[in-house]
Amino acid sequence: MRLEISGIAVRFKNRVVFDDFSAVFGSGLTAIMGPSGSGKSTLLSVIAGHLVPQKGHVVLPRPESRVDWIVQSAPVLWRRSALDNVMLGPLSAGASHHLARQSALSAMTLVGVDELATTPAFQLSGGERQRIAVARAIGTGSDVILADEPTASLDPGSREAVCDALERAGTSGRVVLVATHDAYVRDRCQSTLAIERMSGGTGQ
Amino acid sequence: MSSGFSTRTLLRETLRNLRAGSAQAIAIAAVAGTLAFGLCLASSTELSSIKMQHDRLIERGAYVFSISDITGQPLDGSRCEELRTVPGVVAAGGIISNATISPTLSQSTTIAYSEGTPGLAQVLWPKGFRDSASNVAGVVVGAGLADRYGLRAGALFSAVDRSGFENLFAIGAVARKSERAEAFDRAILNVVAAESDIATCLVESRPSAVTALSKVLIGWFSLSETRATSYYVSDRSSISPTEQLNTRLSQYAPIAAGSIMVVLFSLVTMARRGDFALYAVLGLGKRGLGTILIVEYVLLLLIPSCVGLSVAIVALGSGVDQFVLDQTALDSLRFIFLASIAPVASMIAISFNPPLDYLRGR
Repeated sequence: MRLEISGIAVRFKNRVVFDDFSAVFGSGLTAIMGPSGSGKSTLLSVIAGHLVPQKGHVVLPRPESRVDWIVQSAPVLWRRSALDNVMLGPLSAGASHHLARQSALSAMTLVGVDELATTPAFQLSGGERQRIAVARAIGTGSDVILADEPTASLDPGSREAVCDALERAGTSGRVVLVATHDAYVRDRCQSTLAIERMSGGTGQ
Repeated sequence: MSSGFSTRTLLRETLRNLRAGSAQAIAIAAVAGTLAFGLCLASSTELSSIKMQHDRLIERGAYVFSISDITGQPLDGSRCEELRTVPGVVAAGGIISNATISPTLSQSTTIAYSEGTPGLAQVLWPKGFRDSASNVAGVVVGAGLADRYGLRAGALFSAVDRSGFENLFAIGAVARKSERAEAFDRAILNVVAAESDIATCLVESRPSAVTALSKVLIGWFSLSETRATSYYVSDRSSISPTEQLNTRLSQYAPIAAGSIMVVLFSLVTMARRGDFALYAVLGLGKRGLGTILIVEYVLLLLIPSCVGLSVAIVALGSGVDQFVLDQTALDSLRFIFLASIAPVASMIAISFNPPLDYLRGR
């Protein structure tokens, strides 16, 4: 798996976030680090397709690759079970209800949250919701998983569990990009991309 | 990132979401059904009241007009009776003369005595003679007078006029109690040939035909100085039923109830912005969001509203006038139409607060 960013330029009014920025990401975990406002989330938005760069393009591992985005708030359907929340991923990819259930259960087992399957989402902790989000991304069959500050405001135990989950996603051949300020998360990643504010250049 | 949520999946997801939040869903559906039911009751109650007042006005002769010649020239009685064929006219009859008489046995008592054409009985005692067309003949006495002197059809009644001349009346019919005026219940009408010359023509119209009829009346008797005035002026309401209909409070109920439902639905939608944010992250677009909102609108607002309206209309069905029922149904349709803005309003509210912004803390 290989994700390529080629010469992108992103500007917001008078502010240049990226100018001719290129990077190549391989399978496994990559930490994206940098000060606030350096463009970490913007980069993830461009890769996710939520933001179209003024210049340049993103080459996904495969033309039909799905990109899943795990955000800091780890949104869930509060009144539904954890399993239902994980199933949403495969369902959004067009899977049948039966197949979505199987994929979700497998993903939850891989991430280690299978015991939470029937737990209502409103009873889940922040860390558990992040792991559910990782399981959802894995269950969807996404080639690329983007995690935006997934461990912010988590206790050390939860942080470790989320990193374990992301690591398992990475070791199963996916490109996992984690935007973070957390040195612990960086240390768990195989590679790191450091972005400076108003940066231009390339990284790998 | 593309979304593969099929319509079937969205329907299933919407149903599962509603089931998971069943308490909230039931509450919204109950509000919609109750509002619709209450709207029907409010409309029908006010409309029934207006209809009742309207019927009372008609019973009391508020739409009876008196036509006479300014110079006092007699009018053609048969022409007056012919007015019944004019669309909008309910009854028409001519007064030849009015006088007072006294029963021979009690000469200190005075009784109103009139001579008139057959249609006059229909104007004075609508409940008794409305359907008898021009078949009223002979002497007709009011119910009160008949009770007092024990008069029945075929009985004889002796009375003296102001000149002291004794008249013997063979009673042809006893009228039912008149709602129009108490005096008619103690009156005698001597019905004579329709072709007689008359002093005044009384015409009763349907309320909706008053304006059109007033134009017809001009020139009807081929006399340029004919005038038409209200016969029972004192019985006219200060506010006509049409005005009452136009100013009734319940006509605003659909707007109020519809607005409540639109605001409630939009607030509930906005409160679930986090849910929609998750769907948006998974690639759900505006079309998918619209599908969810429309399904929720149908299940939470439309069906409960229709149930509430149906229950109310069935409950009212046998007890209210068709006019009231029709107007109530119209108010209900207005409510449903206004409530149908709910999913559109929610979409607009969401577009000002995109779900993805929610994830960014905005």
